[in-house]
Amino acid sequence: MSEAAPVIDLDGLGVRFGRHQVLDDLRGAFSGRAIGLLGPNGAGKTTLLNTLLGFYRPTAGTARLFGMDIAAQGRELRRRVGYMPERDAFIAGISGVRFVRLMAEVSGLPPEAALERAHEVFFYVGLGEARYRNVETYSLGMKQLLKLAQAIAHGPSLLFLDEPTNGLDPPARLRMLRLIREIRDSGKARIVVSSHLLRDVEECCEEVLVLNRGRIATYCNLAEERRANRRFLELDLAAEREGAGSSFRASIEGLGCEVAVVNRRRIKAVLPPGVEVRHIYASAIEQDVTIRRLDYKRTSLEDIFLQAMEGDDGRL
Amino acid sequence: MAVYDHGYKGYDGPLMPARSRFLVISRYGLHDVFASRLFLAFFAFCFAWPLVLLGAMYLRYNAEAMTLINLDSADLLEFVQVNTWFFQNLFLRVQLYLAFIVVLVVGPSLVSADLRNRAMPLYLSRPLTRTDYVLGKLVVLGVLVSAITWAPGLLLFVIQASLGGREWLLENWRVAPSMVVVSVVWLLCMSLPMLAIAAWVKWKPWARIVFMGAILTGTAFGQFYKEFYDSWLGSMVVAFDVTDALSASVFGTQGTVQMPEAAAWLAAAALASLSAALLYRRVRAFEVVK
Repeated sequence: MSEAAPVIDLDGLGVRFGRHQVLDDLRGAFSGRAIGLLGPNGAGKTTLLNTLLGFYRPTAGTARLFGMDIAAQGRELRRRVGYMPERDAFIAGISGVRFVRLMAEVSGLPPEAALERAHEVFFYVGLGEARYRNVETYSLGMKQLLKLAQAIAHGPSLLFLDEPTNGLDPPARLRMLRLIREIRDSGKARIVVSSHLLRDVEECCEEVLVLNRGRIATYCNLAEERRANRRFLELDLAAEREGAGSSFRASIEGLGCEVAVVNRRRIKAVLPPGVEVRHIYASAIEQDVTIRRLDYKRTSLEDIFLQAMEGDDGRL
Repeated sequence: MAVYDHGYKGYDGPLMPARSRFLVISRYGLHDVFASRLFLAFFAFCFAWPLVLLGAMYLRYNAEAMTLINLDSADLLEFVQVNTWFFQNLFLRVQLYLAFIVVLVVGPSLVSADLRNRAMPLYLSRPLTRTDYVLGKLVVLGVLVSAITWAPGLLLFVIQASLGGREWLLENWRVAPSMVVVSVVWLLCMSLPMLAIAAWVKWKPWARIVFMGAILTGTAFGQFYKEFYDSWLGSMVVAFDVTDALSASVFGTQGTVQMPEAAAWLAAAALASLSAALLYRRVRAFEVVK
């Protein structure tokens, strides 16, 4: 397993169930610490996760995780993968800690290490006090955390989370998102989050893949997008004297900024490398212009998502 | 990630060999089975009959003990003839009936709950194949059935061989492998259908009812066919006829059922293969609706 290889490398991946093409010619390489899969219901997010896990056989192309082929090296890959399914999934009639221990042992941990890890992950996800309770008695929120616990018990390198905040109340949702961010920031595991909730993906992911009707509608590197957004400014001006606005515009153009005039009092500017907001303020003082409002461009994930949904056949 | 350290950490420790991973499922399955005191009591009861036979064997070779309990040695020698018939009918047949109850009680609980609670994606997202899963569950039934059939049978055989001497051993050596073969074939022919039904029905009581129903329906149909057409073909769907014919074939004795050996083997192979295919079809992470 090569850590330098992309986390997910899709190479013309296609999945067909009977006459229904569920995934079609997916291509791209994704290397972020946390990758979000977005899309409307039926877009193919869960099918993509299940195919990467080896549950469905690709009917076209292939995919690689950390450079390992999902079909040829599936067993070896699954040793390094943790999976939190969307729907309720547990083993009936046993306590939470025994359930997680069993899952860790099936992943290959020796019994003693599995037991130790099971206790640790229960405390980590915040279910420490409930670990001896039968899993059937857990509430919906507890079951979500239990699914996360079993997914991380064996210390996977890659974590697939399918709708991790489904059915959670606001505090539980915040706790789940905090845990995902913590795991991401630990650097011990890469995360793939499938969700239809844009906010959740925006809060934990660095890269986002938007699927629509089994195809990649768009790809967005949120970290880069956020950095780029910091260079786009929107300014509302109040000129003290006649012609001050024009001279201010010429002045910041002189700094190397690209400037677009929306109206007499509002301009948009793109800062070149090396030019900071303080330089803009300095120009404003020089030109006797008052900046009433300065704002960064805010392209939200929602904008990106809605834009992607407008076109059907978008590709990377 | 110690319990006091609430930060996420990976696992870099040693791993168990992949080949024996299915035994984890078996170990947990056996633990859960014996968690029931009622089952534990029944399982202990399954050893009662081998103990009775062991006592009879001991008395047969111990005139002093027979005198102590006022037993006529001639009567006992006449009654307890320790030979192929003894092991085939007096021991194994009884134990197989008990093993049938074990399979009926334990079999459905092994897979139906996993499928009903959608645990399959959890198992199969790990380095475990569908075959490993089925094998792991089958080992549970294998251990339980073996423990009350061929394992005590072999023990009785060894004790009898030590009491009966070389002559008895040379005359009856075939008994030992025959007990193992009949038990294993019987295990496959009963366990696989039970697991397959449990996987499709997903509810323990219903799985037991359907299994019993299938056996009773097969028996009724087979008997009717045999009577009406005067043909052994009806025995192909009667589980007990097939078991009798197989047992006679393996032990090399005269069976009570008029059925060709090949037909009995064919029926057993067909039943096991069909059940394995049905089970394998059901044991998957997600159902694909085409």
